[in-house]
Amino acid sequence: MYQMTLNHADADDLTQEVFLRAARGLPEFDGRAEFATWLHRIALNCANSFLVRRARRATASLEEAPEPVASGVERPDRQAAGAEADARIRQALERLPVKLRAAIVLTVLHDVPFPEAARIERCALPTMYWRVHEARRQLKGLLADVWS
Amino acid sequence: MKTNELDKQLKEWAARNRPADAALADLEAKIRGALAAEPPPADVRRGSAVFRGTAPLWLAAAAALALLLGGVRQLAQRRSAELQAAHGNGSAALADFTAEQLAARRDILDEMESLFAGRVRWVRLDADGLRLGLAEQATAAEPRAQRLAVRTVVVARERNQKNWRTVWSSDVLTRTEEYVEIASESGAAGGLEMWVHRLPDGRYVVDAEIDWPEARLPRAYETRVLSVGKPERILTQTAEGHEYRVYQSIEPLANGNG
Repeated sequence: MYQMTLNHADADDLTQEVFLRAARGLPEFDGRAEFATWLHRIALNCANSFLVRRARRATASLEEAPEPVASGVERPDRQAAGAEADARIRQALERLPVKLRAAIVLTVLHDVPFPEAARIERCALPTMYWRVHEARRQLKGLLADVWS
Repeated sequence: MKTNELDKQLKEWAARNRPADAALADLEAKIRGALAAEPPPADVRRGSAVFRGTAPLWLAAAAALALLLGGVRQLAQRRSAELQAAHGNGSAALADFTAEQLAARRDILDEMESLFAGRVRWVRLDADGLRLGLAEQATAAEPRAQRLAVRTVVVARERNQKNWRTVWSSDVLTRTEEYVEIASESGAAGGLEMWVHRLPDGRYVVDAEIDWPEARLPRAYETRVLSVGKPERILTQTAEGHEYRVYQSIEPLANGNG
């Protein structure tokens, strides 16, 4: 959830919402989809709805209002030199359209196979390939100077 | 930067930003508490009709209204006549917008945005009139999004016949990055889903699923890169003795007063 919302507090709230929705929907889970696919779909639907609401609500961007670090979340290794790179990656992911972000989160960060990612996002397989390709292309452009 | 390197950096970023174990345990306790407060599954099932009726975010958020406004009806009839006149050779020009049509669509979108301030997600215009998809909450539009008109035209002919006829046509007025989900009017399963993304070079990726019973086209899912003002054939299919072609075009709509 953090990888979609890029904000720890929002991710915590949405994770709770996902599990509550899943629990409510469990009696209607018909077993046609894999359980993990079904849960991923609920999670992405929650995240998409939230991000659309947040994008429309926001008059100031997240860049102007950096995410506060949630208490108990900070780890010592975040103090290292990678902290600046972390911030750049977060900003780059934030600039990706939600559909492209979801594609890269599923396939690259969660190692979900492309066909399953396409089922989760309810799109055709070539579309999932295109989304990941486009997300990588944009990220490379946005992060070109970080590791040059 | 190579793809492998990018993926490695992203994975390392995700690992570094993984919540600490204590935070995860705390979250798990919160979720267990919230779940314990939920009614048992049997009650949930009984209540699910209410849940479905009031809370399905996408459906409620896209409360589609059938607005058969006089001016819109007139415009739709004119559009229908244009299609009748143009369908003979089945060319991509079918999906082209004229300057007059674009101005009219911009006016419609302005008017709808003025009426339903900040809540318009999409407007669909076809020969029968206009349908509107509204967001649940009145919110300001995503500032980076661009207003657009996307035309999709399905033409068909029987095998070995020369002339094409238009079986379905639809203009969707929306914004880039908006997820458009329009249910079929007939009540049958299916609909039109669309998502438009603008590329840095000014072209647009149109990601569309057409599963529209009235289009009589087998379910089609296509992702194409379109240039402004250049309609393209995005799909050719054959089914039950008929050939089908799907054309699509895209045009930006200037911001009006809405």
